[in-house]
Amino acid sequence: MTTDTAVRGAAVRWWRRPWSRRLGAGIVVAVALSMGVIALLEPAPTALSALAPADGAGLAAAPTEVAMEFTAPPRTREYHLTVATARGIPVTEGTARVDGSRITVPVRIADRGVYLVGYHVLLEDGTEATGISRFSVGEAAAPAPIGEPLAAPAGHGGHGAKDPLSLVLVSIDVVLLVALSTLLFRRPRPRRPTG
Amino acid sequence: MTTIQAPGAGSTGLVNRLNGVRHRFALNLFMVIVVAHWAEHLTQAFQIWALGMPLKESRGVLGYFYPWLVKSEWLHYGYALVMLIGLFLLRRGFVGRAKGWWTVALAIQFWHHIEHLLLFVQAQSGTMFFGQAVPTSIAQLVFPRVELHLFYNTIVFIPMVVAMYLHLRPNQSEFDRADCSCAKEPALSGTSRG
Repeated sequence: MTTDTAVRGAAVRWWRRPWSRRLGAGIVVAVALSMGVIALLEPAPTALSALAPADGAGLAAAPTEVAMEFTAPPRTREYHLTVATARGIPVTEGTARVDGSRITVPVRIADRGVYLVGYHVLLEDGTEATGISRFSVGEAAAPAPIGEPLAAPAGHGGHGAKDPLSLVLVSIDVVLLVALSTLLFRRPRPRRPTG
Repeated sequence: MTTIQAPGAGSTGLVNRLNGVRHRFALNLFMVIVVAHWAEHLTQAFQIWALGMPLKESRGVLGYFYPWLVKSEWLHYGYALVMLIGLFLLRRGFVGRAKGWWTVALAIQFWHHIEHLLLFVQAQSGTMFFGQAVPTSIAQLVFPRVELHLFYNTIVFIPMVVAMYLHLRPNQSEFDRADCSCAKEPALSGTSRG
């Protein structure tokens, strides 16, 4: 390495000047805050909230329709909803359709017994819900639920979990993130020779 | 009067420039990606712990608006791939102790990427491995915890931050051997990196 005072003085790059580093830091913080505010203000995405009749329901009278209920009117790519007896004989009449914040299918149930519901819906935002449930009509005891909770099976669960280990890891990462940000925006001087 | 030659100015090729005259810029860009990814995780943690949102709805910022990014593994796999490429591509610009720590991060990230590749293939093909109902990585067979990859990201992040610290605060020997302009020149030594 060589030294040239004149060249060094003239070669201060614009991105090394204090004002530009502060401006860059300000932009990063502003973008991060904006994203956070938008995420908090934006209404929650549409999700399947319930089935009617519910999984494991015991009904005294036969329903005329079966429905999937959503937190908001669903914008769907595709959906399927079918109802059958325990022996697999369909009892649906017509096709399923979107009705406000519900997807419904008419059914004709004349006999008492246990009925199975199969459903699948793919929303425009990629959210998917699929599963089965069952309910009984005119039976002495309600059947046990058979479906999973209303969740899509895809994915490995993300990176978050509500347990102490996750909180510890996130806390460590916050400290590291602060350290890294400090390094990036306040570059330390190298150590002076000790010998 | 001597002439200053910008580090890496005589080098040809993108990789040489990224590890020489452009190492500082490339590292800063890489760190912005890293910080953005962590912002996603911290947002997710905030959604879970502060807002009390259900786990399956706590998908960070991008996953909040585009759930398919998380469910299809594109987000996680894409980040793991970018991390691997960045760690590999920018390694040569490090020297001394910093290079050792950076290499540790690269090695861990390499395995982490393999794990994500397994998850990605399962999510895209719909074929689950190891007899599982959902995409599952090798380590999850032993430690079936959903925060496994948070752990991976943390143990990659630790040596990476140490490497960055040592790279930006080198000793004199490391400073003399470095080709890049990442570390600020000593105040009174009269050396410059242009």
